[in-house]
Amino acid sequence: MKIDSTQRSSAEPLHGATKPLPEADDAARAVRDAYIATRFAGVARCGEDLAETERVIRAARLYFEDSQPAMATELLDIAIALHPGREEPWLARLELAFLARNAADFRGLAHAFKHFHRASSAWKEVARLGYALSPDDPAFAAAADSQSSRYGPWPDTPNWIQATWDLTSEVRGAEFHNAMLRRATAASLPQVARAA
Amino acid sequence: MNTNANVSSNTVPTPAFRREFDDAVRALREKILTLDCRLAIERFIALSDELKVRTVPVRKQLLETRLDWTDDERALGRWMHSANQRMGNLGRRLVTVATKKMEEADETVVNVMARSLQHIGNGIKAELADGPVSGRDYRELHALMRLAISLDCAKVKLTLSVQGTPMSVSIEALYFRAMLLARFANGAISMPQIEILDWWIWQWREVLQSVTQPRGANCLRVDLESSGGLRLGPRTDGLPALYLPVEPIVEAHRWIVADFHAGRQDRSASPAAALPVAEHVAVLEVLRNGLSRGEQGIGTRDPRRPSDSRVEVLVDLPEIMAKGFATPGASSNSLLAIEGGAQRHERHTAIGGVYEQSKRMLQLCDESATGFGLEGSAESCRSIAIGTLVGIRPSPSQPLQICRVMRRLAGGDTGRVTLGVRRISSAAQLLPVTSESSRASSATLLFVPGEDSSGSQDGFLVADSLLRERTKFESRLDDGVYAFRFNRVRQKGRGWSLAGIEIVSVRDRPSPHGSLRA
Repeated sequence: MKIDSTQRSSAEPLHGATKPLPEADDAARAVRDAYIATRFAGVARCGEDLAETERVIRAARLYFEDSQPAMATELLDIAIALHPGREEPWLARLELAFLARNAADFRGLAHAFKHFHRASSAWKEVARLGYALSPDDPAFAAAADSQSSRYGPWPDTPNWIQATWDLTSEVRGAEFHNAMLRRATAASLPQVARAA
Repeated sequence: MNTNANVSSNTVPTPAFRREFDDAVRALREKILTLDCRLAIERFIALSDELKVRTVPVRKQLLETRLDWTDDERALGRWMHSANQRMGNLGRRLVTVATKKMEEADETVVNVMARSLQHIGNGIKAELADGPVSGRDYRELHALMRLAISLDCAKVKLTLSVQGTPMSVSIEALYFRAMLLARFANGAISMPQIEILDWWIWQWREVLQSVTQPRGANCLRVDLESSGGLRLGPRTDGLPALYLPVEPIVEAHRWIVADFHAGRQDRSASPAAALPVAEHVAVLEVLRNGLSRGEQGIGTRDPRRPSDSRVEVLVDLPEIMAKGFATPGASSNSLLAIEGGAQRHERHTAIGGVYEQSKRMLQLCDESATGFGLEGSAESCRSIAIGTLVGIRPSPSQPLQICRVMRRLAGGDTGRVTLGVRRISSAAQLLPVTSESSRASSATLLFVPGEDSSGSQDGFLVADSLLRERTKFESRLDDGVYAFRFNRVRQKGRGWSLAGIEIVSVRDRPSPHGSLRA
C-alpha cells in the first residue's frame, strides 16, 4: 500500500459506503477488479458487475444469512462506492445495519444516504428505522410521530434486502437436497450388499 | 565484518559466507563479557547490517519460488531463521551487559535493542522454512521488552532500515511486530503471506502502542513474566500485563480494504506488495479471523485421537473426482489405497510396484471431529499447499473425506511435512449435469450437501474457471430435472471454490402414477 494508513487525515471517512470512489485509471481498476473477483468470487468479476443491483443485493442477503455479515456489508459498501447514484444498495445496506442493530453504523449510513439521495422517497422509512435505533438523533426526529402509534420493540422492517416471501425457491432447494440424499442412499446399497 | 567482501550483496549468501557469518556471531558472543562495550556494539551493528543486506536476495528468491523449495532453498530459509534468532539472542545479551557496564544506556544500546527485536521478528517469519515450532518460547522477547521498560525507552523511536527503506519505529512497536508475527506464523499462513502481513505491520507501526489497562474485552495482551505469546482478552489473575488495543489494528485493516476498493496498490513499494492480490485477500481473511476470535479461538483445537495408518491422498479437484468415487469392484487402480498397521505387506508384482509410484501415500497421525493430521515426505507433499483441496479415506469403512489444507509445516532437517486438514464434507457425490452453454455435452460436478436439511447450505466444489461463466446447469434426479446456477462462494482455496446454488426451476416432475412426463 502506498499510503501509510497511520498518516491519513482523520477527516477522511472510515465508512467505504460514505464516499464515492474517484475515477480509477487502468492500473487502479485492474487492482480493484482483481480484488473484487477474489473476494466476491461467483458474485462479481469486476467493478462493472457491481452495477447489477439485484444480483448484488441477493448475494449480500445470502452472505448475511450464511453468517458472513462482513462479506455482505463489504459487498454493498463497494457497490455503493462505485455506483453511488443507485438507491437500492444503500437501502439494502441500511437494512443490514438495522437487522444487526448497529446504531452507529446505521446513523453514519443514513446521513450519507440523505446527502446523496436528498429527494429519495425512502427517507421517511429510513428515518423510521433510524428513530427506533437512535431516538436522540435529530435527523430521525420527524419519525417520532409515526412511532407513537406502533406497538412492540421494533418497527416493521422494509424488504430492501429482497428477501423473498415466495418460498418456491426454498422448497425447490429442499427437494433437490432430498433427491440428492436418496441418490446417495441408492448408490450405497449395492456396496453394502457386496460387503455383506 | 566484511565477510566475503568480494561477493555482491545482491547475491544469495553462499554456504561459506553463512559459516563465516555464524562463526563471527559465535565469536562475539564468547567475548561479550570481556570486550569493550563500545567495540562489541560496533561489531554487533556491523553484523546486523550484513545480515539484513544479505537476506534480502534470499527472501526475494524464496518469495518468487512458486514450486516447493529445493533443498538449497530450504537450507537458506533455515539459515535465515537461525541467524536472525542468534542475532536477537546476542543483542539481548549485549544490552544486558552494556546496561550493567555503562553508567547510562545511551542511544547505541537502544539501537542494539531495536535491532535485536527486528531480528527476532525476521527470524519468526523465517520459521516457516524451518519446520514446526512446538511451544515457542517468548522469554527472549519479553526480556527485551522488560529491559526497555526498565530503561524507560519502550516508546523511544529510532530509525531502522527495513527492506532498504529507513523507517522510524519505537521499541514497543518492534516488540509487538514480533509478537503479532508469532501469533500468525503457525503454519496456516504461507511464506509470501507472512511477508505481506509483515509489510502491513510496518505500515501500522504507529498504532502498535502498549497500554497498561485493557480497553474493552477485545484487546491483545502480553504477560511479560510468562513464556507465552499474545493472548486475547484482559488478564484475570490480577497481575500486571501489557495490552495492545485491537481497535486501531482493526481500523488499519479497514484502510487496507479501502485501498483495494480504490485500486490503490503500489506494487513497487516492497516485494510483498508486488505479490498477487489473491495472496493479500487471503491475509486479510486470516487477520480478520485472528483479531476477532476470543481466547478459545486460534490456539485451541478439537480433541485429537491418535491414528496409525497410511492413506492415499488425492490432490486437487480433478484427481479427487477422477479417483475418489470409483466403486469397489471396479479396477483397483482407481480406488484409494489404505494401509493399516496390520495390513501392510510387500507388493509382489512389478506392475503393482510401478503403480505405487504414482500414489501419494501419507501417514495419518491423528483425527478430530473436524479434520485430520497427516505427515509425509517433502516429495509426496510437493504439490500440497495451504488451501489445497485433498481427498482421503481414513479407513475402508469410511467415506471419502474431502478436506482443505489449513496448515503446512516443513519439518526442517527431517524432510518431513506436517499437514493439518479440515473436513469440508464426508458425503460428497458426483453429479452428471448438462450446462446451458454446452447442452450437447455433459459434465460432472461434485455436490457437497450442507448440514441443513433445507438444502440452503448445499453447494458444489468447482474449479474457479467455472465460476467465471454464469452458466445454468441441469441435472435429472428421481423426481425431476433440476436447473440451478451458482450464486455465491462460501469457501475458497487454491483453484477451487465451494459455491452455493440457487434452484432456478424443476421440470419433468413424475406423475402421481410414477412415470415421468415426456
